[in-house]
Amino acid sequence: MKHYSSVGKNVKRYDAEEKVKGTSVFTDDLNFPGTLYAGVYRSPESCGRIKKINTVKAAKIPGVRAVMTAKDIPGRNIVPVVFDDQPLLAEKYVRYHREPLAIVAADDRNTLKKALKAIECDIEETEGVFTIRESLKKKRIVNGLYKDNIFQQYVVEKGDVKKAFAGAFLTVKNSYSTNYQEHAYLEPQSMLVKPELNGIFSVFGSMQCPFYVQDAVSAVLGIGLANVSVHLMSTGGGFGGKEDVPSIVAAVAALLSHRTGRPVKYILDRDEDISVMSKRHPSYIEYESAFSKNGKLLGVRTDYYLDAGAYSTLSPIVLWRGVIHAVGPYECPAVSIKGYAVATNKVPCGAYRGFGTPQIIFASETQMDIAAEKLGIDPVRIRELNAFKKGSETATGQVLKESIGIRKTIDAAVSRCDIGKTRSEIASFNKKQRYKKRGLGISCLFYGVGLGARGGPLQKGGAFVSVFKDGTVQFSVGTAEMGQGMYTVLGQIVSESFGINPSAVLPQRVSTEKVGDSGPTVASRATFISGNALLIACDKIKSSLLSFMLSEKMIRKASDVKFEKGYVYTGGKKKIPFTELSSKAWAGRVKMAEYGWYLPQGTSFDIRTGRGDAYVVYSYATNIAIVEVDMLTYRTKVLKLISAEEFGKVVNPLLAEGQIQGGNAQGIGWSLYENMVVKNGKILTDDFSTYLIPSILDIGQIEPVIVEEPYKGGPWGAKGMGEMPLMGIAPSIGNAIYDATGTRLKKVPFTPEDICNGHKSK
Amino acid sequence: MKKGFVHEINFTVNGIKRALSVHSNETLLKVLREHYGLTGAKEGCGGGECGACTVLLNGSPVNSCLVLAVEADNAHILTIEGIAAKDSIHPIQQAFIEYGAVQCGFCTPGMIMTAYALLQKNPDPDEAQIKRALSGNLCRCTGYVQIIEAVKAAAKRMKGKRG
Amino acid sequence: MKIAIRTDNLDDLLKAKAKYGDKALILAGGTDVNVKRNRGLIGPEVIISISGITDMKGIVPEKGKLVIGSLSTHSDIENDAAVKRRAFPLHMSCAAIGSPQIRNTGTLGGNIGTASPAGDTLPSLVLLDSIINVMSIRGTRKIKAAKFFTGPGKTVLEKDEIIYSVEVPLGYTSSNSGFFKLGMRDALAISVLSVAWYFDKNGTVGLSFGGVSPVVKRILVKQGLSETAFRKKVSGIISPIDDIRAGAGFRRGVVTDIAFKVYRDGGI
Repeated sequence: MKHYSSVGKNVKRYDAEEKVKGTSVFTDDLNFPGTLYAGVYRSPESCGRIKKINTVKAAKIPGVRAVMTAKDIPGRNIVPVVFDDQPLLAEKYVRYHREPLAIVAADDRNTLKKALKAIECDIEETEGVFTIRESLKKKRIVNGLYKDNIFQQYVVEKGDVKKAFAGAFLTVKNSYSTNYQEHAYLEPQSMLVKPELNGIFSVFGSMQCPFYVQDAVSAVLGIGLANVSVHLMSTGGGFGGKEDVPSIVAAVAALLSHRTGRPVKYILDRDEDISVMSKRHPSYIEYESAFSKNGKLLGVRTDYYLDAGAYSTLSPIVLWRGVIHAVGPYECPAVSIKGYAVATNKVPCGAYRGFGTPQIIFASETQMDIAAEKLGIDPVRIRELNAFKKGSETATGQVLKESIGIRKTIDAAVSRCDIGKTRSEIASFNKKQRYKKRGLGISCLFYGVGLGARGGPLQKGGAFVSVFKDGTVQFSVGTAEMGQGMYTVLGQIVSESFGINPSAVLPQRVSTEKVGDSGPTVASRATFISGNALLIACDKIKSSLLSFMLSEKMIRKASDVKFEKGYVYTGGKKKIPFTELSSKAWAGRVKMAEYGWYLPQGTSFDIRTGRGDAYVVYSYATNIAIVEVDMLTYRTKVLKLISAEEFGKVVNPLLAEGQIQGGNAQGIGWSLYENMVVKNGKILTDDFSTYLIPSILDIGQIEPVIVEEPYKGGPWGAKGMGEMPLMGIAPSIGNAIYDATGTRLKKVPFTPEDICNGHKSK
Repeated sequence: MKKGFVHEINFTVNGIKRALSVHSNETLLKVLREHYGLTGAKEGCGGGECGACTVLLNGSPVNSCLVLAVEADNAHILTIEGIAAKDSIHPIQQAFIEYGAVQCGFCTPGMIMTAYALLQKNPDPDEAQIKRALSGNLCRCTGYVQIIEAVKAAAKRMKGKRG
Repeated sequence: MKIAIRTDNLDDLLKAKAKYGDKALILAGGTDVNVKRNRGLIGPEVIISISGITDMKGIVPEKGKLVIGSLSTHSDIENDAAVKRRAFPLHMSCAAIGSPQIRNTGTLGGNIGTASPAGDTLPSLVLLDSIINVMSIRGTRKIKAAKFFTGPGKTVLEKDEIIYSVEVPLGYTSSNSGFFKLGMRDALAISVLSVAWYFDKNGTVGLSFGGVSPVVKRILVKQGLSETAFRKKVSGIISPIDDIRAGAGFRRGVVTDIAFKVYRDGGI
């Protein structure tokens, strides 16, 4: 096994010191003289025809510098994502509550508020479509572009499903549903746009995808992409919520900046942010599984519906990922998976950590438990029986060749939990306690790393590396740091390559000016894609250094050379410090600044049959939740959550554990606390006192377990991992609640009310 | 009794005496950020629900988005910028770095201020006391585990220093 | 807002309140008023900031009771030794409010004045037969907590009156009384329902309920009732509604279960 000096170590975050000191610059901390404040006037109705928008009064208020509606947009009135069906500002119809109608720039926040209050609209309200069920009836059409109210559908077919079900010992059929999830990043959406000389606009903001923002600003202003420079500020959390929607925020600020010639800042209030920004899709799932007597999964039939909201945004690809992962990390010879992204008159849903998989994993992993009980097989055993191994085939027919850690994660979670002992402790606790009941639940999952075959032209990434004459190194990538620790992980990958201390390697703030369009920072892809691109650049530089050393007769042959511990070994024990080599190479005019470009290879997907090698590689996880349900209040507390995760080689264990703990906490939130209430398309839980994310008192003991199964195609063996820790938490908790109370919950979140009703109906 | 929209206030911010005219509508958060450039305190919700704007008012943590600047008249205000000298770092800050308690960093200044107030009053808190003290500071990134570890470690070190 | 007044003098406050009446909104800790103001939900013509009035702060023992200034913060009350020892339900109520930051600024008077059916101190104040001292330039009035609240956000306060202090009777310890709040999260939670209780020496059990009727309801029952009879009594005085936090049926069921457990077991 390779010995690493930097990879695998808990290297301190590059940005930690500025963050603990409060000096890290977030968008709202940025100030330019003459900056105006932007705001959006939004539709009071969920659905209707716009008859009039009156902005005259608002425009006359002193201190108001610009008021604009759709007709004032110099470029295209769109939010570019996949199908480009969403206008930035509604023109003829409103299709969801608080859809943007007009935008305002004012000298200060108070004037802005006054101006927004002074705008009036006349909307002829029509009856909206608010549920998947209503939408599928097709009585009312949300958007004329989609006559059947379906934005996108997929099928994945494999084997003879009819035969599998006919010959099964046991079939299990259930319906499941899940509610929204709001990202609740602590920093609200924020953008600042500043006009520069020569028709260039600088965009500073909080985002995951600088290149999406560049696209959006260029589209609405009708200017070239070269006229838009996007710079990433410290970004206060994303979780998918800053994938596509920052494009809207930036476009608003850019239009007003373009109109006024002034810098314009647009920071969303929390209620506005919760009401209008993207969320995890609510879902409805029908799921049918067939098993043999000894617990082998023989077939899966499922219809998976996502409530997409009023525009398609990212739904086509969110749905795709859900469909691909619908069976879980199990061999299954026969599958029929159908997925639908359905239009409704509600806020458009989009990316959220897990991207269409947590909903379907909730269904599939609950099915597993139900089947295990009916077959009299231990829930751990039934998963082991079916889990992928080398040579297994996924639902899409992809044959798995390497780095398949699912079994390792099951073993690791079970042994960390000491499951036999824990179960007997739970049993004796439950015998003694009348008002408190404990239970244990398990879930397994897999996750395709990166965008996969549906990522198309976005499956790429660039990096720039520059070695200076003093041996320090600077690098740039096109993916974003939003708190996950990407800068640090990538710095470790670079320092490992040169065999130098990570403190000699510094990231540059991400900007569209530094590397080419590298696609989005999503799909747990930053380490994998940018890491590989960086290594390509590093290798180019190292190769130039080798040529230089050969020509200078510092070495005899290139294969003698090793970059380690700050030195370059030039044969046997001979070595020179990396700093010295850098200085010599500089004097020798060696090219020590290189560009790397990485393209993941070999993904495919046949849209008609759903067959193909969907992703280059997969990561794996097993969760065990231990819960306590209070039988007086029906509230559930997670006492302990064990997440064993396999994502290749771990680059920074401390950061990886932070990702696991944070993802687990969001999973606990979605499962137990976060209950979005929507009435006639209007979100009623639009603040943190009604939309409840877990506080420090609501998180039990969280124990991450990292399992390694290095992947040859990853940077130093790493895969991706950011999303997995959230994805399977709901079924582990749901299965634990069943274990504790005997109430089987098929709706997320698991509210006290639902547990109470389940309990009383028994 | 003072009537009108502009009020003169005198207060101490991070040890420096200040006099300022403030509008009766202005929050303490706004004054700190926009008047003094102390942008460490953040506005996460504007409703006292997230704690990102936490500063200490006479030693106690408060949500500066809910405190009007006029209410800070004669008070001592301490912000994240004031807990360590310019080129040094407070043990709590150091522990947050070492224990991975920082991810996006937006909640961090408020979280550290609350932890600071706790350790001033109770140098040796147990885990339950730490959790209760930090229960008004939401974090969406970390799941809180490494934050708790960091506060524990800081308490230990600070106690060691006091001897 | 047209006028902003800030005073540290009680007489000035009373004069201003007499002049502006219900056009004036009193700002104490600001944990409720400033949330609404930040969101643009309220825009009173006159705001009177009173946090500097020292006369209205402090917790003073008198014979058999504590007199708590209405500007005392929830933290002041939570951390007061006498409250904890001898007015235990109120201690628990204050400790259950929001977060440390909210408790450090929010005041007892503010919680009373807001008169939310979910107000955390109200069940304890009503249970213990506290007296709310109100004041105006016309003089003072003593009002029983049970009579003070008339509906969500509504009280018997006249438009020139302010809440000056609260008298809380003593004798309620952690062994003969308590308070329980159900929120949907363990911090920063608005109460879904709450129950406060005491057991006296004569075999009477007092129980009050928050969040399950427009105002806090209290019952006094003798020990020894049958479960059915007890549940009927509780059920008869509450009238919960559906809201975004929970449904009426859930509230009714849980509050009755909790009340019965307290009644039977002496606590929760």
